Amino acid sequence: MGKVTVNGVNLHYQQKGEGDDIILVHGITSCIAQWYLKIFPELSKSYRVTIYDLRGHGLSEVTQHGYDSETMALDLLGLMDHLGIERAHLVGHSFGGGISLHLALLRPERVRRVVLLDTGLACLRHLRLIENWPGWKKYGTVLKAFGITLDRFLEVDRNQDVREIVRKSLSIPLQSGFRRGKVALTPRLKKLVDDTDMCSEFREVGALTEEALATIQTPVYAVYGATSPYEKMAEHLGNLMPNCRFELIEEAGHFYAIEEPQLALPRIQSFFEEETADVPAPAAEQVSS
Amino acid sequence: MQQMNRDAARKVVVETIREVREDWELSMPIDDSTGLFNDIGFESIDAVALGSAIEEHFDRSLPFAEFLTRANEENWSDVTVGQLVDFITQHLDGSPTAAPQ
Repeated sequence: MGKVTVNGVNLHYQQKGEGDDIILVHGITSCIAQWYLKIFPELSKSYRVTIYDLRGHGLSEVTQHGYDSETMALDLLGLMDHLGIERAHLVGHSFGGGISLHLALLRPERVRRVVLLDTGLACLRHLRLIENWPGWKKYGTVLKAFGITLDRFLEVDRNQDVREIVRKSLSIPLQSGFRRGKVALTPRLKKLVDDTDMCSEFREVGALTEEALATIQTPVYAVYGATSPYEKMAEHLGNLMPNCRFELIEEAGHFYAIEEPQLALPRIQSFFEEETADVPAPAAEQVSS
Repeated sequence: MQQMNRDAARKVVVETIREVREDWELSMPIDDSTGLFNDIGFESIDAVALGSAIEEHFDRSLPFAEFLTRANEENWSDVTVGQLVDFITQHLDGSPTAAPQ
């Protein structure tokens, strides 16, 4: 366990294993614990794996600003510099994928390969499933009970700041784990959601536009849940990015990498092993699940 | 192999819990029956930090991920201080102890 101040923020990280570097980047309102039980220990048997809490999350410093993908990519770059990591494979869940791609855009020589685990990108927001998201049928009653209706979602979503929706979604009691029955909105997360500009800044497109994505040569594997609101982004990225393959996992939603890490792990391993085996970078294609 | 009795292990666990939760004004008494998540109010990141701090204290790697995975898979309602103490003594002195719960 370590802490270091880079890019003006104190970040908490852990590192385990030996070999080529992999860095796991979690998403908004999560923390390194999402990797801790399965993906971190398994990957560290063959790689040197670094996990870190994004600014404002877990045990990293809470700042007022800096929650856009560019600033957070520079946080990651600073951490790599501090740890002496010249080049790394990156795995990003949700927003962590946006951070990973942003680093590949800014500093392609530092990024070997990227796995996107159901990443919703701000520049592809027009592709999100909203009215036709299958989750409304599955979770609609619960969401409504906590104040999230389709109409209210659409209304809040017109704004840059979606604090109301983030707050309400975190107020739904957890269904599993040691904190089941308790709300996800812990005192730490409450501080992040209520007292910072995270809920608007993470939605900024910045330099990570569709045009910019099309220039990224880094091999990317976009693995999305077939029932996720972001599932349309997978194929779009496969067509848009020069070196991106994509896959939809049936019956999986946005959080599959957390709830069912065994779905993510072999896909991460095989994609990174390809480079080690010196197999040519993958062409854009759909892989059946 | 380092020898570790339960009292010494409990002392380390309790001190480390207080360090991990120092920002949250933890003033309650802590004993073997105290639950990390339900009584102390642990978040998942606290469990990660506690595991790391205990490893640093003993200067050796312990299979915390496997311990927590087992607790999860066996649907424990919580992880108590006593269960954690059992886990530590088992792995530090190499002798088996009664399985938690």
